[in-house]
Amino acid sequence: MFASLFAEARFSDVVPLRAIAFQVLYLLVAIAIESFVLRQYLALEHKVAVRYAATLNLLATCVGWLIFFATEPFLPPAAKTQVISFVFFEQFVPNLWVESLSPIVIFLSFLIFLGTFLLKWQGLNYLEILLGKAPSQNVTDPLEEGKYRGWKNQTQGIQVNPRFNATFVANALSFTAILGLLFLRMTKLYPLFQ
Amino acid sequence: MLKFLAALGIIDFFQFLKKTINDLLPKTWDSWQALVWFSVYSWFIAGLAQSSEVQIIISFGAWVFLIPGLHWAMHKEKVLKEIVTVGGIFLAPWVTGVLVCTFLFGSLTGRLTEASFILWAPVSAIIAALPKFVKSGPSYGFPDPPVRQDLIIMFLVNVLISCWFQLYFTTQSWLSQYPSLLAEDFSRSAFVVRLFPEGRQPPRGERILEEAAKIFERRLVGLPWSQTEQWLIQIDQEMGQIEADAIARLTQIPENNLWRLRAQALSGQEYLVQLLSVWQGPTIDGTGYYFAKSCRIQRQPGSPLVDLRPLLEQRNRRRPLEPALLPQLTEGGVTQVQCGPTEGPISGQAPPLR
Repeated sequence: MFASLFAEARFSDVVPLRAIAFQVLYLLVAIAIESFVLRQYLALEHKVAVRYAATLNLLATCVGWLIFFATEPFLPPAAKTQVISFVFFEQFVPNLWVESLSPIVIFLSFLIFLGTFLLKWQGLNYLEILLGKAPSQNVTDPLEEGKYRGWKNQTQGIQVNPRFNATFVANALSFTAILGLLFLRMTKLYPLFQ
Repeated sequence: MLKFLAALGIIDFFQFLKKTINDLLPKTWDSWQALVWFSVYSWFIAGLAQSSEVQIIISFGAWVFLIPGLHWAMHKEKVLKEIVTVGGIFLAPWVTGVLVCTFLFGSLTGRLTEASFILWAPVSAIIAALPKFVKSGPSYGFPDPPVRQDLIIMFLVNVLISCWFQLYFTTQSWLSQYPSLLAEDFSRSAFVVRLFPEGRQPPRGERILEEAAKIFERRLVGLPWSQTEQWLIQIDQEMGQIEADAIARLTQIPENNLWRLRAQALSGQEYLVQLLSVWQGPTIDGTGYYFAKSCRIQRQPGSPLVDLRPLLEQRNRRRPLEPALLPQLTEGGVTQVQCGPTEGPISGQAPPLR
């Protein structure tokens, strides 16, 4: 990743403009959905919720790109060929890896979902600390928790960790929406999204 | 006469010029004009310097004056301020960022590096954020929470822009490692567009095939006919070596592993050998393509003495000609190879071997 940083820049007329356009679209969709969920779950102001959602989604996107750039140079050549084929032609090459691709893709998608969720959840915790808001609502007094356990579990079970729930639902909904968009792109409406 | 000039706007023009020059001249030492003029002076002196070391040191000073000078100017001069404000966003830090990155990662390294593009947005974001950490007094401290939230978002947006630059350079490095991809159509891609679709380059399969044909001819031309026939029977084993030799003559890049060289002999009285260079890498339809070249291998009876002389003198022969072979030569005749033009690219799977 850093080896080529100080190499002379090379240019061609092949520009990742579509990647940028799609990324902006997905970010807008995700921020719209997640800000709504965060506002509902955490009783936030509209503006605050939009800013939280924007921060979390931008963070997840940047971390995702950085992980991709950091791992890409270490991919075996056959896997790299598949990545290149996907980026340039949106399909895979029939080589050694093509057999094991769908389990890899499914596993990676699951990992990405889990990773973005954990990142957004922890990101939200740290964001509130950074902004000087109440550091965390989920730390309750252990003694008190012991006392009222039975009562709490029954009536407030879902409220124990509101940020956990909020980010999980927000992430699940925005992933569903983006998957829907990707699916539209792959099927009949393909020319619309070209 | 004066009225005529005024009508032409020439007087206005000269007055504007005078005012501009007046504005550009420093009034006091602590002004942006002074810094920019220091910089201009340093560039001038650097141009006069003989040795490159001195030039580097003086131009270093020139940059150090120029960057704060222009940054100051963009904050102070109303005209400049309006130019760099786009859609209500004051873009001066990003202009200064261009200068800082050109200086740090372009001028100092002596070439335009990828870092100067990739780090431009984050560096500019830091420049834009720095004033927010200064409080009146002056003292330093963290800004208020709402400002903090805006700064976090601004910084993340700039890191994302930096990632897009990195993506651009990643695709460029792929294209230089796999240059045959430049022959392809990227219209299906969800990531890249080609700005000038007519500027496609031919894939390298043709080069590989031409090199292979040269090696092929060199192996066979002048070989005793009986040996040629034997060689053609086991052509599959021989092609491995020819492929390696042909690819060894090209630039060594990862793409070479995706080209396969194949050959098949179509039997008959005289042989027709078809050489194929097959692309096994990514293509738009996923089926690949290949180039083909047909070579006719003929027996030439001719007088052995006439045939032998160029044969013995020929350099670069892989196998030395043994005297024991001479009788065979006179009996069977020698081999002649004639290769046709390269055809292709032919899309689809290459025809299967016999």
